[in-house]
Amino acid sequence: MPLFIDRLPFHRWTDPTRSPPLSYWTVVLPVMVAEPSLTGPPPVAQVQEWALDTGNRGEAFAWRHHLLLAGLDPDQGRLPLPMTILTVAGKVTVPVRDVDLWLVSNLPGSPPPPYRIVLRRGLPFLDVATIPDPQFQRPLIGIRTLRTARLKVEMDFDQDTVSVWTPDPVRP
Amino acid sequence: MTADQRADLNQQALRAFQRDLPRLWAERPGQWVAYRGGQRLGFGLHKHELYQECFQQGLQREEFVIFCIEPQETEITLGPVVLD
Repeated sequence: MPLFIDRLPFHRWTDPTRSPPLSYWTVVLPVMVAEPSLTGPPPVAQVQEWALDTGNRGEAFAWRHHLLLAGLDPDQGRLPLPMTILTVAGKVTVPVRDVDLWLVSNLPGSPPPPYRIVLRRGLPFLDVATIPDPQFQRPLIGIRTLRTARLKVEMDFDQDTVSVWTPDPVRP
Repeated sequence: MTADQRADLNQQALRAFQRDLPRLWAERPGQWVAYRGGQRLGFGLHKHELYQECFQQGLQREEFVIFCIEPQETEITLGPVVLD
């Protein structure tokens, strides 16, 4: 399997309001969000940091804000079957927009092109106008998506880095 | 087409897909299927290719829906911070 992301540092954030300051780490992957009809990687799209959430049994989750950041209209391309989000704080039903994700390589030199991650069920998103907390409310990639994309992921909690390998290319 | 008409067409597509899913799951698991209302437009191995086929038929994005042929997840569990 070809290496695609090489020892990308975990995102680290330190809350200076705590005494002493308290640090948090998040395993993030560079991702672009794009229309699902594209035949190739989006030519221009903002790369976002999506949290790798192996505790999320679904595919993915985001906020309306992240679709807007990607230049997509959250009110278009909605799928007719919504998604119910369950948390210990309650549940809410949210819309689902059809998108694809594109994983972006961090390899130096001539990196491979972005790797398409197909969302089979679409992207459920919290349809609120507020901007999510950039530290605690990141868009999420769940375990179902990692399986669909057939990625190999190595998290190194000694060096605080994540590496990703994509599947071997299909030979004719 | 108004927003209400589009929503109604998409609900028809969902009902048709849910009706067909047991048989499609047995015959074409993991493939993609497109509907315009209750009318099935076609199948594809890849979602983006099926989108392009529908566009080539002259359809606009909001006139059809593409589903993956697999059991449909309707609930996911997230941490409480998400809904704060």
